Amino acid sequence: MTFNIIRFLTILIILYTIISQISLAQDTEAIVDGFFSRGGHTNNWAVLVCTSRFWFNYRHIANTLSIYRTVKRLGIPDSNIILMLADDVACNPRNAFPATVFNNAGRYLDLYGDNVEVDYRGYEVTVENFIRVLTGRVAPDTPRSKRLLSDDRSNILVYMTGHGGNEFLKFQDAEEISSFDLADAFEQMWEKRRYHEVLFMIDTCQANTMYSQIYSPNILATGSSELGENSYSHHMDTDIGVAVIDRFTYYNLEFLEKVDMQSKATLKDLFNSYNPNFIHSTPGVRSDLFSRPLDKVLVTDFFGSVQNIELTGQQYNISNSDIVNETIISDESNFKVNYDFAYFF
Amino acid sequence: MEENNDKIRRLIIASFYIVILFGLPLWWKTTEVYRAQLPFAEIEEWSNWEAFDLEFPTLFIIYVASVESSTINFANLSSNLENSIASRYNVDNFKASNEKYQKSMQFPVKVRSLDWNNWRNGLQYGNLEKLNVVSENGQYILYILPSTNSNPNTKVLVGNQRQAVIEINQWDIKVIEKTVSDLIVSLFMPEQAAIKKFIMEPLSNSKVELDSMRTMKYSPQYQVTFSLMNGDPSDLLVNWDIEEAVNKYLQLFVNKISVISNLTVDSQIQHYARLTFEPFHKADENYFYLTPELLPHFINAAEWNLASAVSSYPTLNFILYVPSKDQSPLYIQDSKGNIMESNAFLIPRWGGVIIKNPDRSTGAHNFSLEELKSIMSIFITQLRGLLGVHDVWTEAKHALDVTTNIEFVTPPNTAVTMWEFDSLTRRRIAENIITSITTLKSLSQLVTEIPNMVVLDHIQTEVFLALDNLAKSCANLHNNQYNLALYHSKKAIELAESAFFDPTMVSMLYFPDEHKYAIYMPLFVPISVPLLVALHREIKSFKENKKAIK
Repeated sequence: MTFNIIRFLTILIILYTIISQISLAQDTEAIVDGFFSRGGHTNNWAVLVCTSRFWFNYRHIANTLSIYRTVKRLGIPDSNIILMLADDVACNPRNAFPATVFNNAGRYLDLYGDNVEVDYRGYEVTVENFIRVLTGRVAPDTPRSKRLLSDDRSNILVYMTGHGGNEFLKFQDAEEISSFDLADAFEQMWEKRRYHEVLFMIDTCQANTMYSQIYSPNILATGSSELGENSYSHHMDTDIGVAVIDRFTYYNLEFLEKVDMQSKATLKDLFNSYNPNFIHSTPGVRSDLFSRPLDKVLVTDFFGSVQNIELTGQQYNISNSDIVNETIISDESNFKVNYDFAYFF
Repeated sequence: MEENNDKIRRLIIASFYIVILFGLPLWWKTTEVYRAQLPFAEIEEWSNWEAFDLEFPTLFIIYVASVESSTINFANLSSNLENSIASRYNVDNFKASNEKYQKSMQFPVKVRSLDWNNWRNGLQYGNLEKLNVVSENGQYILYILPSTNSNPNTKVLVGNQRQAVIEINQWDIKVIEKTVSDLIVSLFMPEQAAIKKFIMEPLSNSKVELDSMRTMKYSPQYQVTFSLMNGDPSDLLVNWDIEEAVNKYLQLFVNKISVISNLTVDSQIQHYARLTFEPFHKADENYFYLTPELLPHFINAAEWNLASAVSSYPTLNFILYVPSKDQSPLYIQDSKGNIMESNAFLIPRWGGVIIKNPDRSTGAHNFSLEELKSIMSIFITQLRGLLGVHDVWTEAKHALDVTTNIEFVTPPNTAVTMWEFDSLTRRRIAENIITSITTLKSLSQLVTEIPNMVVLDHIQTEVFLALDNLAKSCANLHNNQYNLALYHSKKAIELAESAFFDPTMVSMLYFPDEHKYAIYMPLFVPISVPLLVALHREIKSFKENKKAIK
């Protein structure tokens, strides 16, 4: 009896392995020579916004620059990154290390580096400009670098950090954006198919309330803290004199630093890495609008730019004719029948 | 005295109320959001497919050789062909729920057959020049001849202009009918399927579809950038005769396609263009290779400066990559491990890449015009794919049955045949019309949903003009005037987009009623308290007076 069961199980196992082998083979077959993206996007964009200014908000600028560095490292070109930054700390008179921004007391890595392209700087960081960037309703003389030229195959990472409250986020102590404005802006993007999928990430106090009103499809949102909770900074640098990074961003970076372009890490792995005990607040994930299962979504689908490719096999033979001027005759000059088929004429 | 005082007091109170009475409408008027009236009903009709019929008519003129020995009657050929093609066009995957589309979307076919008496002289060896050339999109000429050799298969030769020659092996009416309708269906079915699909699921972007992912969205202009990327200039300097090559090989294509979209071409050379990763090394044969898994990381986005700020139109990048010495020669392997002959790959909606390993012995290399020919032909293949030009032959070959030999005249130096160009025109017309309608629909939806959004007069004008152009485009399609239809569809999409993306269309910030109360309360409550109290007192004293008089 037991022998029978064992034999049955063995057969089952063997069958299972064979089947899984076959399906694996089919999977790779499908990938072959063609498109590699499972997500269906062809380009990546990032909109990174730091809504604070002034020296004591050093950490918000460091947060944003850290994410900026990460997405660039993972392959999103500067032309596809809209960076909105008050940008007043690197050259602040209080900065003991001029022209640098660090996100760690160890000061291992200068985020400001020599290749930072800030698209909206200082007083340009306003609610209006942010909404104009998202919806594409910019003045006709706006340069290309300040436009979000995304299409229906674009995955967009929207990262925001600053001081927020219940369903609002302050912009430079002057104005605020509400969760309704944000939701409407996303809806306008969706109406015109300006995105394929969006990852919205926000690190402020009561951050999770900011994405509560979003109603457009294919948006995945994550925030640092629940309603009524503060988001805390991670640690301060005593030489710089202020906190250098927020906890939520810090632990995101801790995960992202281990990701490279070829990485197969998924967003589920990223979200599972959040530990409320370390972050000191309850990070939230909103995936009800998002259509793909999170364990199938690569981190590089949003934080990187992994392009699809298609091998070019056959090529178009341009004809030998030297005729350059465009006339109808030039078309006909090539009516040379080059097949054995011609003989019947 | 008492009386007088009372009167003056009442006048004062009344004057306050009069000011408020006149002020209220003024306040109402001045705080109103200006909204020009948009033709919502008309837009709704368009988006429900009630306002228009989309027709893509085609006319086939068939020259049938008059063979002396034959006694076949060709009188019914035209009508028979029309019927059989129409019935085959309509057998497809339409579902019942899509009837409304089926009713408004038609591909009418007309066939005219003519006797062809001098067919023996009409065609000369290797030359179709003597044949009539039709210069209208949507009109095609087919020449039907009896076969002169013993080959059992029917042969079809498709020209670059709008004509084809069919050599029939069995001179029989049934065979002729079947061959002609097979050919027409095979040449036009893929395009129709694409148009129908696009119309029924205009925005299905969740699916992974090769065609829709590869082809750029319509834009009136694209910027084409050719970049020569040199891995390491310290041991090899490179240059190329790109301007001559573009003039010689690409210019005709650019001219031809400019009816649909303009292409501006520029070029650049960049040095020290390193890869972000190390290619695999095959030690025994001493070459380096890239697998398809590595290719998505090929473009070094952080260091290669490919972004152009010249315009906001979409950019198509074409890269000729020369690897550094320590990575040469560099080849691309396909998934089966074979080295690709073309050494090239395409990045959907982005551009194309070719890797070349020039001779390094002299320390410098100039890609001559002759060398660039094969390179440009690959770039043109990729450019055609990116712009949505579909190879007529690959599509038709799949659709025809095996007993028919189909051949194509060598492609013209415009790099696009009239068949392909017509097909692209029709696809782009359909795309533009549908995109304009969905854009207008989105616009009307947004304006309805967001009551705080200002709608200025010029938006209204643009919407009306867009609708007007849509109507004209559909009317021109109906009359077989594809060029005009294309022109109006381009206008329509341009106007619809400019209305949608107008900078004034940013809605005011979210401003709910609670916020309004919060703003007006501190102003109006303190003002209204003395006013109301005064009114109350007056009424009270008025009543008391009345009582006293009684």
